[in-house]
Amino acid sequence: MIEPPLVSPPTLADAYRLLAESVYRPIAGGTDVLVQLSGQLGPPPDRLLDLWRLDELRGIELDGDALVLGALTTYSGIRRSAVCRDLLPALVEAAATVGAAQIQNRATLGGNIANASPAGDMLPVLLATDATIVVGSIRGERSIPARSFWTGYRQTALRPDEIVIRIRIPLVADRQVRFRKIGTRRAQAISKVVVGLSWVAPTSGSPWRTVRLGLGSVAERPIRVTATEAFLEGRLPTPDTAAEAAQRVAAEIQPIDDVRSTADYRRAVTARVLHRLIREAGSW
Amino acid sequence: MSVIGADAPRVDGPAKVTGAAQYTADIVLPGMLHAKVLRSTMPHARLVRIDASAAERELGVVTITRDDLTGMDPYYGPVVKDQPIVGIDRVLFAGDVIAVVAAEARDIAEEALDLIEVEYEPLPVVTDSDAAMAEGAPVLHAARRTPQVTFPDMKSVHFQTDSNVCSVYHVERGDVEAGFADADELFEDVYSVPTIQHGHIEPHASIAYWEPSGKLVVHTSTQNPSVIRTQLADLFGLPETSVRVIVPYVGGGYGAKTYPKLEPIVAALSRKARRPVSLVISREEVFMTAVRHAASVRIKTGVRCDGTLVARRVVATYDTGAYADIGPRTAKNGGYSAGGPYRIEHQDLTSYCVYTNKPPAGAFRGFGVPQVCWAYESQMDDIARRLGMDPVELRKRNLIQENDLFVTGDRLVSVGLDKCLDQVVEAIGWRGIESTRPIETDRPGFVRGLGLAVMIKSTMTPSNSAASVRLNADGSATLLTSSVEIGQGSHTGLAQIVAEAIGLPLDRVSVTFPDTDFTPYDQSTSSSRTIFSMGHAARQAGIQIRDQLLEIASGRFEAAVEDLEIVDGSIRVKGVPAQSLTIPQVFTTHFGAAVGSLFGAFDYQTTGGLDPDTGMGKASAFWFLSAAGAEVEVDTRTGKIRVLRAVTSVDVGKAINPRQCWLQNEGSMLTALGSALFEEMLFDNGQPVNASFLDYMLPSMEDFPDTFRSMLVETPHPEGPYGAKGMGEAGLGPVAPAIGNAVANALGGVRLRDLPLRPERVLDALTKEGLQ
Ligand SMILES: Cc1cc2nc3c(=O)[nH]c(=O)nc-3n(C[C@H](O)[C@H](O)[C@H](O)COP(=O)(O)OP(=O)(O)OC[C@H]3O[C@@H](n4cnc5c(N)ncnc54)[C@H](O)[C@@H]3O)c2cc1C
Repeated sequence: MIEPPLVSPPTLADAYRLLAESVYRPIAGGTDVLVQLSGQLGPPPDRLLDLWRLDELRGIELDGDALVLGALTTYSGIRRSAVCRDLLPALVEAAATVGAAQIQNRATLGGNIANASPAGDMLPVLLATDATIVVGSIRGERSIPARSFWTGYRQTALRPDEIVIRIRIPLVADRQVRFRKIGTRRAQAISKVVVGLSWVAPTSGSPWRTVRLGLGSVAERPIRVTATEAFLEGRLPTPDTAAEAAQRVAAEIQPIDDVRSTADYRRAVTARVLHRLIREAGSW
Repeated sequence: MSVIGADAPRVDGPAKVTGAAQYTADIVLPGMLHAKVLRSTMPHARLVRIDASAAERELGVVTITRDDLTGMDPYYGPVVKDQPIVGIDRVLFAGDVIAVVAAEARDIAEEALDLIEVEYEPLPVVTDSDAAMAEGAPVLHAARRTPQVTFPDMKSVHFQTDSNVCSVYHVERGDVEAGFADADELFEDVYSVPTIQHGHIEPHASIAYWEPSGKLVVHTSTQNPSVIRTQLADLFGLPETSVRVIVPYVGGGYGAKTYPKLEPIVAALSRKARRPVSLVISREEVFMTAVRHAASVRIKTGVRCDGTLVARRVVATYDTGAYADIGPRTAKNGGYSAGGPYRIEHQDLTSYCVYTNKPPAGAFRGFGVPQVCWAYESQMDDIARRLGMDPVELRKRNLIQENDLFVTGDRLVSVGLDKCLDQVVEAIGWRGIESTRPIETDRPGFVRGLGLAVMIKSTMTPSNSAASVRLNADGSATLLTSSVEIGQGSHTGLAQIVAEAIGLPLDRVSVTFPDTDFTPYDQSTSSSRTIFSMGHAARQAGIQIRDQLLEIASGRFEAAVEDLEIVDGSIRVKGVPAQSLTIPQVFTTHFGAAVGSLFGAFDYQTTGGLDPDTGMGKASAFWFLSAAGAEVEVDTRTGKIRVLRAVTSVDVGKAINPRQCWLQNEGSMLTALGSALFEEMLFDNGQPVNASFLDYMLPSMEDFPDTFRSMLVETPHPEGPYGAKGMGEAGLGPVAPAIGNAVANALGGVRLRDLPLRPERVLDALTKEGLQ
C-alpha cells in the first residue's frame, strides 16, 4: 500500500484554492479514506487534502429554526451535544450506531455524506428531516437538498472542486423523527437496512402530515420512498395503516442480494420495521 | 501456601500490557528482506506459464517459483504430503501460493508481484464436500504420499486415493440396525456448519535464514515448533539438528498456527536470497492460510419412549479444502465424538475428510467436535420435545459416568459431566420442562428462550512432552520447555506447577520460549494438552530437583528425607523451623560454594491409540467434559438474535489457576457465540467474497451477553499434574447448540439446523412454519 501525498491547508480559503488547482481526495476523519487506500475498493486516491485543521467546518449551532452542523462534526460530538439530544434525538441515536467508540471519535458527518455509501447510517435521517447539504468551493457556496444529493451508486451532486461544509436540518414544530438500523452485530456493523421516518402531528391522535421515509441499504443510494410517504400522508397510525404501509414499502423498493444479506430479507425487514414504527407511534 | 489453585497473575502480563513483548513481526535481522506472496486468482487451474524474469531483473528483488524448487522434495503436510511450497502444476484454491518475492521493503516486494506473469488454464471447481464426493467430480489430488515422520494416532485413519475423499474413519459398537429396530422413535436430520476463520489477532509471520554451516534457522509464530522442524528437515533433506526453530510470543492461533504455514516459503526464499527473509501476511491472506472445516452431519438416533438412547448412526463430512493439513485427524476426532457424551448401546460413526477447492482447513479450537456437537445436541432437544421430556432429564438419563466405556472402548476416568450440567441448570435458572417454553416479553415481537447442551472431546493420544528444569545456585529455577505461550496462560500455569513441585515461591521460576536447539521435545501446543502433558513432565522434573535438594539436606541435617520439607525455597526439618537451609546453602553443602546447578528432566508419553481395523482402543489420555447454557431474545420481526446470558461449566480436573481457566472459558464462549450467530466464510464459485474483517463478522464487545459466566468442576485426573486436565477447548463446543436450543425454545420448537443463525434464516424458518 503506497501512501499518497497529503496537504493540510490551515484555512478554508486555502483549501478552496488548492481544490481549484488540482484534483484531491478530501480526507476528514479518514475512516473511509484509509480503507480506500488499500485500492481494493476502487482506485486509490493520488492526492489527499486534509480537512482536519479547518475549524470553519466545526461546531453545532441553532440557527433560527434550523440545526446547523459543521461537516467535521464527529459522531461523538453529536452524541455529546445537548442541542442535538434535545432537538433531534433520532440523529443522536443514529450517531450512536455508527461503528464503535473509536470510529465515533474520529468519523465525521460530512464524511458519511460525501462517501455516499448506500449503507451510510446517517443518510436516511437526513432524508427524513429534509436536511440541506451546504457545499462550498472557490466559486462560493450552494445548498443541495439531501433528496437530490446522492445521485447514483456512490455518486453525489458534488463537483470535483467542492467540499461539504455544513449540514442544515430544519426544525419543524410537532415533528417526530425515528431511526432504526438493522445490522448483523451490535457494533461495527454495516447496515442491512436503515430507516429514517418523520411526520408532523400535533398530538398522537392527529393525522400524519409531511411524512418522510428515508431508507438505506435497499438501493444503489440512500432513497426516499415517496409512494409510501404519499400513502401515509394524512393517515392515523392505526393497524390498518401499518399493514398497508408495510405492503406498499415492500413493493416500492428493489433491494439486492449481496454478501451482507438478501433482497428478500431487506424487503421483509424494511416492511416490518416500518410496521413496528407505526405501531409504536399509535401505541397499540 | 500452595501456589496450585491460586489466581497467580500472568507472568507475561506486564510485557504484553506495556507493548514490550516481542512477536515475530517485531524481529529485525541484519540484511533481512521482506516477502510478499503472489496468490492465485483462480480456485482451480493448471499453471500453464509463470514468468518471474521481469521481477527478478529489479535490483534487490528475489523471487521463487516452481523453477526454484530444485534439489528437494517440494511437498509438505503433516499427514499427507500434498502441499507444494509454491504452485507446481496447478493451483487448488483462490489464494493458493504461486510465487513469492523478497525485497528490501514490503512495498517493493508488493510492486514486484505485478511483474510476474501467470497464465492459467481454468479447471472445474468443487466447493463443497457433497459436490467433491459426487460421481465424476474432478479429483484434486490423484497421487498422495505420506511424510517420513508422521503421528502414531494416524494409523487408525484410512487414506483413499481414487476420489476427493482424503481419509475415512469408522468405529462401531453393537448393531446399529438392530438398535433402530428396537427403538420406539427415530430421528434423522442433517446439520451443517460453514467454513469459519480463527480470527487470531497476530497474523501468521515467519522469518528464516541459513547459517554458513548449512543450518536453517526459523523464527516463527507457530503452535508446534517440533513439527515445523521435522517438516523443514524433510523438505530440505536435513537432519533435525540442522533445523532450529525459535518461537517468540504468539498473538493467538486457536489452531491456525499448527503445522507448516509460512515456514517452508521463507526457508526456500532465504535459501535462494542468501539473506534472512521475513514474511508477515495481511489479514486477507490469513483467511487463505487456515480455516475451520465446514461440515455436514447426518445423524440418526433411535430412542425408547422412556428417553433411553439405543442407537445412533452419524456420518460427518469435513471439508478440508485444497490440502489435507491436519484434516484427517480433525475428522477422526469429530468422528468418534459424534455419539456425544452418552451411553448408547449401538453406535455406528463414520467421518470423511474431503478435498475441495477452498483454503486448507485444519485445527481449530474444538478440533472437529463443535461440528458434531452442534448436530447431536440440537437433536437431543428435538428428541426431548417429541417425547415430552425435560431435555435435562433426557440428558441425565443417558449421560456417561465414571468408568463407563466410550465408543472406542476407553474406560472413562475423571468424568464430572453430571456436575457440569447441574451447575449450568442452576446458573441459568432452568426449571424443568417449563423452561422449554417461550418466555414472553413486554416488547411485542420479542420472545426469549433458554437452552443448554453438553459435550465430550478427546485430546491427541498418544503424544509426548519433555521438560527439563534447572535449579540455579541462587534458588531460581528455569523450566526449559517447547510449549508455546500463545496467550492461553501456559507459562503462568507451568511456572506454578514447577514452583509447587520444588517448593519455591512462584517468582523464582522462569519459563523459556521454545528453541529446538535448547528446549526439549514437545509434540505441540494444541489439543489443550500443555497443562496436562507438559505440566506432568515439568512436575516430574521439579520433583527430581526436590529429591536432590532433600537428599543433600538430609546429609547435612542427619535427618531422614521423609522428615524434611521445602517451603518457600527453604529446606527444613518438619516441625523444627530453626533447622533450615536456603538453596544457596544447599548448593554450598553440595558443591563447596554457591555455584553449579541441579537438573531434572522428564519425558512424559501418554499411551493409547486406536486399532487401524476397528477404530477401537484408547482414544484419549483425558476427556474434556463441559456443559453450557444460554438465554436468548429473538426479534421475530427481524429474525435477530441477542444472547442475553451465556454460562459454561467445565470439568478441569484441578484448576491450577482458576482465573486463567475462567478466562479460557470466556474466550471459548465468545468464539462459539460468533460461530453460532455471525461467522461464515462465503465463496462464490470458489472465490472468497468476505475474506476480511469488513464483511466477516466476528462478535463485537457489544455482542457480549450481559451475563457471561464461567464455572469449573474439579474431578481429579490420576495422571494430570495435581489432578489437572486440559481445558482450553472445553468451553466452546456446547455453546452454539445451547444457543440454538434456546432459539428453538423461544420459537416454540422451530429448529434451525444450519449455522450461523443468521436473521435471514430465522425469518425464513418462521415464514415456513407459518408463524409470520
Ligand atoms: C470500523 C469501521 C466501522 C464503520 N462503521 C460505520 C457504520 O456503522 N455506519 C456508517 O455509516 N459508516 C461506518 N463506517 C464508515 C465511516 O466511518 C463513515 O462513513 C464516516 O462518517 C466517514 O467519515 P470520515 O470523516 O472518517 O470520512 P473520510 O474517510 O475522511 O472521508 C470519506 C469520504 O468522504 C470524502 N469527504 C470527507 N469529508 C468531506 C467533505 N467535508 N467534503 C467533501 N468530501 C469529503 C472523502 O474524500 C472520502 O471520499 C465505518 C468505518 C470503519 C472503518
